[in-house]
Amino acid sequence: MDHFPFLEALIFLPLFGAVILSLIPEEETGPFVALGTSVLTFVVSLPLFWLYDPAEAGFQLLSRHEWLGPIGASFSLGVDGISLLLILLTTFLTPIAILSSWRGITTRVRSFHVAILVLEAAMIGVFAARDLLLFFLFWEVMLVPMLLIIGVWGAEQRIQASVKFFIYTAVGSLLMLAALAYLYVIGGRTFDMATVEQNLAAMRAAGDFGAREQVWLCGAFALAFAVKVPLVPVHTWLPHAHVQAPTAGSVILAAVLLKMGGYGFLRFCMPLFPEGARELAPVLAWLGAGGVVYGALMALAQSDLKRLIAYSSVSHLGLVVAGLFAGLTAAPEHFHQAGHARAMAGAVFQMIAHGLSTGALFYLVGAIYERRHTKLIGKLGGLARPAPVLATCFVMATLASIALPGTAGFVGEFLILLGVFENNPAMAAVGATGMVMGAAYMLYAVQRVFFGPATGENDHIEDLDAVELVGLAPLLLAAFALGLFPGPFLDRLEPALRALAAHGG
Amino acid sequence: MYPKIVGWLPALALIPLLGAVLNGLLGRRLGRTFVTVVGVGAPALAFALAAALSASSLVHDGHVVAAGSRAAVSRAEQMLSERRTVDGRAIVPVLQDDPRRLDPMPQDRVFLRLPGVSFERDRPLLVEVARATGVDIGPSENFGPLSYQVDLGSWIAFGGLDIRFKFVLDRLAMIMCLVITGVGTLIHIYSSRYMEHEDAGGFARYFCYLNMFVGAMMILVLGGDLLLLFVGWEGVGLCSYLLIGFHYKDPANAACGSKAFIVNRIGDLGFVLGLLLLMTLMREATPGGGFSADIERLNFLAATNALGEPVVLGIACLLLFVGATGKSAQIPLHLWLPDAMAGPTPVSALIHAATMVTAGVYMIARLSPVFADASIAGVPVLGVIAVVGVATAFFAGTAALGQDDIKRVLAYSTVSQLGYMFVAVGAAAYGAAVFHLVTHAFFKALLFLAAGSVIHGTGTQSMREMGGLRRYMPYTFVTMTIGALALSAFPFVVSGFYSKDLILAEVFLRGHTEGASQVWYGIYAVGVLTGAITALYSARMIMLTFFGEYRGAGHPHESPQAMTIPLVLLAVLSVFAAALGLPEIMTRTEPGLPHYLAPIVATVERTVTPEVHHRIEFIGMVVGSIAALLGVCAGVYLWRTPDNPWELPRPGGVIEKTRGLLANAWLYDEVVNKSGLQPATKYLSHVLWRWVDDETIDRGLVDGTGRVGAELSHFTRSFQVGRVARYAGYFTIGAVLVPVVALIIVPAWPQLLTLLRGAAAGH
Repeated sequence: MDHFPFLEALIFLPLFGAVILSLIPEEETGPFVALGTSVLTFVVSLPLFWLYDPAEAGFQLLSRHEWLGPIGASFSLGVDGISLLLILLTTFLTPIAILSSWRGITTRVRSFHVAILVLEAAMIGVFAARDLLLFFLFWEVMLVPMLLIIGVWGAEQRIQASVKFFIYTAVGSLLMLAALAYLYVIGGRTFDMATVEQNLAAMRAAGDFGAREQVWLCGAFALAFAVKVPLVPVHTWLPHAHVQAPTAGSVILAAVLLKMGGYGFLRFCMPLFPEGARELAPVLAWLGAGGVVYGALMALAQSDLKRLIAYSSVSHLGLVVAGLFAGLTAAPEHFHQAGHARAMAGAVFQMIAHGLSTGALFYLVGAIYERRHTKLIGKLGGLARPAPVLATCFVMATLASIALPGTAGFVGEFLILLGVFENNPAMAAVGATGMVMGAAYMLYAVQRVFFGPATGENDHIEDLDAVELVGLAPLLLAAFALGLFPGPFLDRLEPALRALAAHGG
Repeated sequence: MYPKIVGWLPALALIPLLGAVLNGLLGRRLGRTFVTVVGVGAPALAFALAAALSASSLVHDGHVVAAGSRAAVSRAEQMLSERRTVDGRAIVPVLQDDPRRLDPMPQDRVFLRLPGVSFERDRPLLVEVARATGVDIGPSENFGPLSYQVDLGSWIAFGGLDIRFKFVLDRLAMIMCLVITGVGTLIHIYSSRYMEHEDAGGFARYFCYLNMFVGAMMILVLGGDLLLLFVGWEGVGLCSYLLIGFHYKDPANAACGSKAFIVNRIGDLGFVLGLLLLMTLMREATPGGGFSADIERLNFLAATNALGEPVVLGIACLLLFVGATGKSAQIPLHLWLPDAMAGPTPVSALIHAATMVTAGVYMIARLSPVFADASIAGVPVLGVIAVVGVATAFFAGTAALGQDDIKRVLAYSTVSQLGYMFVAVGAAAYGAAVFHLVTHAFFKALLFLAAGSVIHGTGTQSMREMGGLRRYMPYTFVTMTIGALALSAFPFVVSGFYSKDLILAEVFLRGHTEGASQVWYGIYAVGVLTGAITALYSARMIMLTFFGEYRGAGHPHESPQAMTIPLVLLAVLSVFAAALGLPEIMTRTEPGLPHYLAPIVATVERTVTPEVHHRIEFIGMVVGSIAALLGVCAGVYLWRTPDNPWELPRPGGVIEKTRGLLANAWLYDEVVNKSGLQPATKYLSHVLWRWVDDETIDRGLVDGTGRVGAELSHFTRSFQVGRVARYAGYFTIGAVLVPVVALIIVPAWPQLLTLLRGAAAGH
């Protein structure tokens, strides 16, 4: 290892902050320590973007430490373009999430921020792990603080929501654990991801690892990831979780946690079990494309603003899953590899774009809730008059969410639709309907919340203040900057996704 | 090389966008004067730049160009430089970039521009040079679609895909730029007074949106890649949405804005799918896999029949046309435009009459080679476009007759006139389409601004509460009448006559082309009939507004100069724009604007002799004049008083029913949208949510599984009854099981696994 241990630092900095925070007795220092730690983590993560060499395929910034050596596990880390961008998304969003609940959290303030910091460390760990056991460890650790954030600091029905969240995720995790154990045994009794991948590839080449076996393993992983995405029909935990979670929880949940699913598909299902992924692709891709329509129809029916945005996530991430798997639904003789890579690149880009736009939307709903103590669209109205800045920001976040050209969402959606079209035009046509329905449910929501006459309490709310703007502005700026200059990000995705697409042929 | 000024091409879009940013961020604080100066200054500056670009040479006719291999051209350059002068005029050859560099022509083909040389007068010299050096020499237009291009780098690149920030100014874009910034500037000036009642924040917001619109429109027009065009396409839609709902405190206005945006998005869905199909075709046609949605490249591939089968192109073009029906308010997506009148009137003039709504026409003209051969099942897509256009023209023209709101009359009239433009596009008469686009931009902007002046002076939009205004608002009266005459295509004195006439003549000629369908004559007939209806509703509007006695409340007054001066200028343009396209029988040359556009659009070759052509033109003019005159005279006669049977129909009578039908635009919006699509979607989404998502999946399956878990736990709890004997029993079972697992199963695991895997793999 001849470089500064950036990845280790990114995992341990938030943990260190959490320890410090639990040692300080004053409750009110919580937000400051957490914010400072997470901003520092973001600063430390920035050089990664330039240290990563987009010209070179494969994992970079690799490092390996002894850990549970006897059973073949190690503390090994590394990033490719996909995990690099998702790590940056995580470190970028955590400080913003902390700011989003700056005043919303009034009880056990310190514990709340400890949970957030532990969550950040675990999320970064999931993206950086190059060891199966380490990955699973972080994956499970991630669950605990999120569960607490919803269950302790959530709204009235927080317990039901957090139990539902937990059970869904735990069922998925259990299957994944079983599959991991199986992989461990057949993959050469090691948890090292690179070795396992090589061994499996060798077994596939030798015909020792057939499609049926792959389907089962891939399916076990896929279910865990489908729950996280969440893919229809295993999505119903999400609306509950979002409605009950405090703002910071919703922001992190939407912006980062949901991306674990897409990341898992890319990291495990596709490279380890290519034939299995091809077998399952029609189911997953059509569930995704169908989820675009289904999620949008659900969003149209909602009266709770947070639930509406939660269902919009189901719709948007359905398109992401369609983008990941559409290429594999093409018959081998019609398979277009570059198109498959484009769709996957679009999917990863869309995950980031969705993190920015939906993060901003939840941030703003939180701000509205703090003022009006309701998220019911019917009770809001005319907010643009008393709070023009809030309204402007919400409209901008909406535009980013409905993928107006010039925003990051457009780049992501366009690449997905193009890549999907190249391999499966009918699926692209279904997925593209999200364009219309997304505009419908978002604009109707904007119209009912911000326009019209402001009556009663709605007419007396305060506009966004400086603290809130400091947290929000980076999200909106990033959403537009990535829409206009996606080049450096796409460059970093290209080698990894080309290699993955080559598995599909 | 290009002239230096070409580097400023992207500024055409960036200047208005900068204006929007300044007004958006600072306008509220820095006050009205700042807002006005920035708001009006930005489009004015863009107009000046557009004018300067149009004055620079490339886009214009008149230059002689030599083209050939680099060696040949440099020989020619040397030869001409040695001559130095011809008839005392200096020769300064200028090398320039190949404007068609994407063509797979010999890579080293270069162009030499010869300013000051006349192709006719200096022909002996040119022939001599051509013979001696092997270059091709001719007027610039012989060398294909000359254009300025500025490439600001890559936007979206992945794999072979490379979408670039590329701005292209050719003749078509030039015309659009001048109209948008020119009419745009006048409307900005007008707005500075029309919107003065807004508070400081609203005033700044208005000009922010309006500048942003001009910027987005420029991106639409100048975008060299279909995807960049789409940026502008969606950008103008956004500004339209924001401006329709500008007075958002009235929920109805905000709803109209949402409706416009969502209906447009339905069209955009078609546009995007068509775009994806075209891009896939381009990828297939490009060895090496590099592709984009570069318009020039698409057109080139289509023109050389290398893009794809007519059927596939047909599907792509039909999808793109769906996009056009959204943006340009054609059947079946026209229903948003009348509702768009909820926006301030200058917005209606600029966005919903003069510029944005013509984007569909522009887009198809831009892609004319792609549309040229596209057909599905033997039906050419252009034919479909013409039929949809004429149906929309007729349908909306009749609907205009039933409106009381002066702005809704003009809105339906706009839908109808756009229909004419699509008829021209369908006949592949792009010159005529763009000519009508330009004249319509002038006279419809004029009509809307005049209507705005009337609304400003009376405080109402209902023509029932107007009347006799010619005495109170003389400037408005005269200019609006000129606009109405242009709309009616009143013979000879106004531009609208010539542009509409050209369209109808082209349709007739199209029918006369060998192998053409008889449907074209039907389109012609409906077009003429709609012309008469247009004249009728125009006359009705003028009569109800300006003649008779004033029927409203208060004292109407003429508008201030900042509003009337734009009216006068637009009235002048509405008359003299005729010069852009006088017919061949009057001038003995091809109409100017179509001639100017001819080298860059794919037209249908005429198979008629000039004599027949002239006869058709003549008969067309006579027929058109009769239709317009009949319409105007009938209108003036019928509405000489507002107390006629049309305005005050007998209750329950046929007239009242007909009127009701027309007032509601043939009930399309009510039936298809308000009682069809909207409730269906609402019902579907609620039922799905309530019964599928919530009841079945969440409560049924998920919580059901949970209940199974609860039952299970109930069952296991029954083991723990607190009796030591029972526990001892469990202990014994465990004591047996654990060693079995530890000693037998674990060591034998690999073998078991092989067995299991064999079973799993199906051996």
